[in-house]
Amino acid sequence: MAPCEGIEHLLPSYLEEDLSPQERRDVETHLESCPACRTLLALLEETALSLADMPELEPPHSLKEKLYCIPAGKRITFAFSDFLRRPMVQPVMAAASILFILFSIYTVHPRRQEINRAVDREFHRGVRAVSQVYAKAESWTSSLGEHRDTVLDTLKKIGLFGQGKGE
Amino acid sequence: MLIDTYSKKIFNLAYRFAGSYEEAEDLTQEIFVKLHHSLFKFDVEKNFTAWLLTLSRNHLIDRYRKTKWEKTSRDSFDEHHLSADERFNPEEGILQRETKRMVWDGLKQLSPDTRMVIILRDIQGKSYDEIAEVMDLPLGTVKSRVNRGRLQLAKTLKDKREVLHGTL
Repeated sequence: MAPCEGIEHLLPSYLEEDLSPQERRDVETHLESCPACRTLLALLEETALSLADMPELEPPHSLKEKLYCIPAGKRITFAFSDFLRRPMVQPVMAAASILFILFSIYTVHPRRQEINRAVDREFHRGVRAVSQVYAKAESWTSSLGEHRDTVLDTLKKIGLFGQGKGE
Repeated sequence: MLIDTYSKKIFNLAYRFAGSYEEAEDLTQEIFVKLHHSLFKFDVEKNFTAWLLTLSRNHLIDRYRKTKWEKTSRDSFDEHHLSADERFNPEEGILQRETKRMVWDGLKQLSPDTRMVIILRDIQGKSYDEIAEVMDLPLGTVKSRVNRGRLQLAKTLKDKREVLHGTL
């Protein structure tokens, strides 16, 4: 007789008729002479019937009401968090965070007046530098205007615009 | 629409898995929140029920591992099933009811993965192929887990009966 350990694990498949013909014969031969495995087989059948016959419960009404409330609330949260997760938004968020931190430091700084004055000074220095560059550019433009006719005559003479040939 | 179609199925899955009515309510809610968050990931060419069951299975087993419900006992079988079982006939068999009680209690002794395959196969009547898809396991592994779970439940039933007869 085959040992019980070798047969036990085949019993659930035997009930489901999911064994090869040889395995089936081995199980049936064993069962004929083993009351313990016959008892186990009967217990397996009872267990299967009990599980299949478990009544299905109706969910409580309050639960369904809560479930109906989920979509509206959660979709908005999802849409916003989804927007924040976009790669394009992340550098903007980082820059905004840095500006916010700098602004926070500025507002609580004890020497805020000095910072104001320094910023004002640097700003005006910058403005002055830009105006100087602008003035220089203007003077170059006017000096170029003075020499414009001379330059154009020279260019015509050397035929750069294709007019020198006729003369 | 989703709630009407699936809330009962998910609630029952959660209740049988967790064994606590209140816990099953919370779990069902959490699963539906997850569903609303993940709905955009669903591939419309796939089976929605299997996809939802996979999501539910993942959530239930994750929560089990984090909270270990086994520390709290399962609800008594009669607490909710007696009123739900319209077919119950007192003359039909006190023994059958007692067997159901013992099997219900025996579910808590199964590991979470084994319990889940037993619920899907023997209570919900899913095919082995469907369970393999939901559990993301090979077919052979699913079958051996189901067999192991059934044997464990049958042995628990035997032990409980012996204890019961010993006390009588």
